Amino acid sequence: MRHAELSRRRLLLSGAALGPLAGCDRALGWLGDSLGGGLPETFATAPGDEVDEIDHLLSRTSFGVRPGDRERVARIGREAYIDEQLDPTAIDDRACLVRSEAIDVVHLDEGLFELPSDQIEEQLARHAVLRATYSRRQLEEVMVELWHDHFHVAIGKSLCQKLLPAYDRDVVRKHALGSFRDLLGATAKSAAMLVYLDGRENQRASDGQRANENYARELFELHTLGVHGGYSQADVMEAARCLTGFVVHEEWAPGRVELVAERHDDGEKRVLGETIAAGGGAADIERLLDIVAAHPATAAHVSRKIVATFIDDEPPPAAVEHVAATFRATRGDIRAVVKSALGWGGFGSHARSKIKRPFRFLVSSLRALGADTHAKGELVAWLSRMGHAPYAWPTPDGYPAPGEAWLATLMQRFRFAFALASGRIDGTRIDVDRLLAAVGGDEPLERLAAHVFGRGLRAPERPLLAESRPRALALALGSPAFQRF
Amino acid sequence: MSAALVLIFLRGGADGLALVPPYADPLLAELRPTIASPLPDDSRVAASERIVDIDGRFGLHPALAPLAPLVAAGELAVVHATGSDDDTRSHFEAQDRMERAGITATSSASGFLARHLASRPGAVAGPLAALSFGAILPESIRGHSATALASLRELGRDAIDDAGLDGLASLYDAAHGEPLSLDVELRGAGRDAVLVSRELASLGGRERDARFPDSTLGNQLADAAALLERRGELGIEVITLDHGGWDTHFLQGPALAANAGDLAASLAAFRHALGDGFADTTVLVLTEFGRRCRENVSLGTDHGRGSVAFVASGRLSKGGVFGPAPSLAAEALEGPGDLRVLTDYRTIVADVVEHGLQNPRVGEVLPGMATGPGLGLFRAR
Repeated sequence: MRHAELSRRRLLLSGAALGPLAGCDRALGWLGDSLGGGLPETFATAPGDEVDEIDHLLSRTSFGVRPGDRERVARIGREAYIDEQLDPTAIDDRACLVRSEAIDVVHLDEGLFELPSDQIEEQLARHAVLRATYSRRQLEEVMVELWHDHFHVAIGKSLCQKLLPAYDRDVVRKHALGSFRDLLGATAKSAAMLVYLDGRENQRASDGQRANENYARELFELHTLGVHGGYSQADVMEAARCLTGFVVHEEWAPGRVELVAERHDDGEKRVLGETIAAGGGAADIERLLDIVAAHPATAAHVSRKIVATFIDDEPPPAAVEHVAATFRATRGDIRAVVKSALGWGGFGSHARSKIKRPFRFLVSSLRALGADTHAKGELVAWLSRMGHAPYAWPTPDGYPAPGEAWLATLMQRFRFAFALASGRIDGTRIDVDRLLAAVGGDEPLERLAAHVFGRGLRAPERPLLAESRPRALALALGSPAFQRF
Repeated sequence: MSAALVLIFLRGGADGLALVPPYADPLLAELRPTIASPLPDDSRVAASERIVDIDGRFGLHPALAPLAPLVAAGELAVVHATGSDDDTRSHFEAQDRMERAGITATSSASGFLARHLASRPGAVAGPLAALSFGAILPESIRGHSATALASLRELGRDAIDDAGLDGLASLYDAAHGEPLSLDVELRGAGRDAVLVSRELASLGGRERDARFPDSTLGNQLADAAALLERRGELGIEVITLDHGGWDTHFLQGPALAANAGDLAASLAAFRHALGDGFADTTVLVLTEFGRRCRENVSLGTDHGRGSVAFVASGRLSKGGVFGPAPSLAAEALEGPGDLRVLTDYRTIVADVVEHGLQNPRVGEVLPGMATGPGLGLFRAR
């Protein structure tokens, strides 16, 4: 049976049924738990001294292993788990959605222009954390994070903050596992991207002034071919002409995008050796995007990012070629591309080769310990302290992907680990007694630490078992092993 | 006092022609009919909106007026038409190229500040030798351990007790290494984080310095000044900061003025806060490239080539503009109409390393750079 996406309407109905409890975070947490989002009665830990293939697969296709995840993959098998994750709408995600979709801002379009900006920023960050923490559509969440970095729109510029809810919902999430060309087209014509990279200010040349190159350059450099993908300054300038004439309405129908014919340069253009005939009007952008999306350098550039995400920050060339072949053969079917990365023969030999970025570190901590959170203020403030608040990177290249770039954030990670483990983060709770009871055995603390690490404890890690419970858990979260995935 | 460097990187490609306009060249107003600042003698606008003359040829953007006293005091130098040999006009390529300074772009390439710390004479650099504001360390420091700080005020929150730090230290002990990629880096970063948590505990919770603008850059430079006062005891040698928002494709005027005003007020406050310590301090301001000479359809400018660099110190030979002057004539421009790079920015870095930081091993910091006459930015010691 396929579950329809929980609509805003149905959510409001379920909220109405809750009556006086609606809008209360504790009640939503309880509702989420009662829908199957809570801690299981018992859960298994990793059996061996080394990270096994179930843990490795889960680590790369999710934001961290929650109690109970291992058993599920062991039960249904690797292939079935991957296929299930690649078809996210078939996964019942109500336990997450009752928490995450109770946030107003993510449902709004034009009304949003009235909300104060600090509220929008906090609500968007909460939404990102809650989805990554509670969604069962974990692979989709991983792709959403990847595409937000790839097609980055910085929350700090101009109106972008107000346009990001629709960008996240109707552009990135909608196409996260769809067709790359559709995703590219949706980003290119989104109000958010047109504002962020000045597309809305770009009009045909006049009085010796030439078109605005901002988006055109990043389209080639970041979104499609890659910086050494074989385009020239002349291609950037010609593409900029194709992209002239878009406006984003602010006064009435705010956020609506329109191509204004008299601002568009309707002459002939030449991009990457292909001619775009004069008089194309609104078809110019489609033709341009067809050309860049089908370019072999785009298959290679995007595949490199996919491989870096799922296999190694230093992508093995053989894996990139394997994935790029799928990209070319399927014309950028993202689902097939991701599946080919996970199916690459060398996948299993890269366990724990990646270092977590702060967002993953924070979310995987919450997931490992089955935290109950509404992700308000205090929790998302930790993301800012670690330099990784959602959508806040100032430049169009998105947050640095390699974990190595984030090693200087360890001091903040340590402080977060101690704050979380000792219950000092307002609105975020972990139930250590319940975790220890559920993990069971003669040495439940050791078993819980093994669950956090995804393997049995090594000699240098054993002294943490002699510490108080909060300190032991903080040290486990702060340890080198937990910085990896 | 030991020598220290503050590197401020203007991210986004700051427009040298707007920051330090060669206003005596009539071509400037022709190329930029809308966005050029009014001339120093333009009596139609208030004096505060006019270019501040430096030497009859060049002037400072009106918003940089707080820096004029530093130029006059011989403490601020400008190098015009400078940049790297990267002509991709990509922010990220050009920034990496500049910060790595001549080392080919591979993941193992190191930055020029890292090579300075590794090559300079004297005792091995300590864990606080390099500090960086923000979560991501810049490429200039890649290859050397460095500490990322949000702010000194932030350090006072949620401190970890000694027993907790001891536990972390033993988990990151190098002797427990695993054969995993980046194991050395991860463990080194963990041990540094513990050390720094102990060292900087006393600095935590510092309140805002009201002499500085209440901006990100202002507050970070205030912290930098406080840290540099204790540079000997803490072993601080280089501090890096990023100043963003220079990618002015659209409506350049107000955006650039606000940014330039922030930069000027913050730098002026920093110089004042350092007092006599400024003689042993160098501030180097770089940007990845300049911007197209001609303005675009949205009253902004697109990515170009040559821009300006600033060097501030109490030990300069003189203030004002150094190096060959740019030409705006069509035949002198490069590619789609960009200012040609006339001074390799590494010439400036070489001067700063050798005379500001007193590291004679410039060849190790800037490998492959042809040696030639320097710019003479600094006076002899």
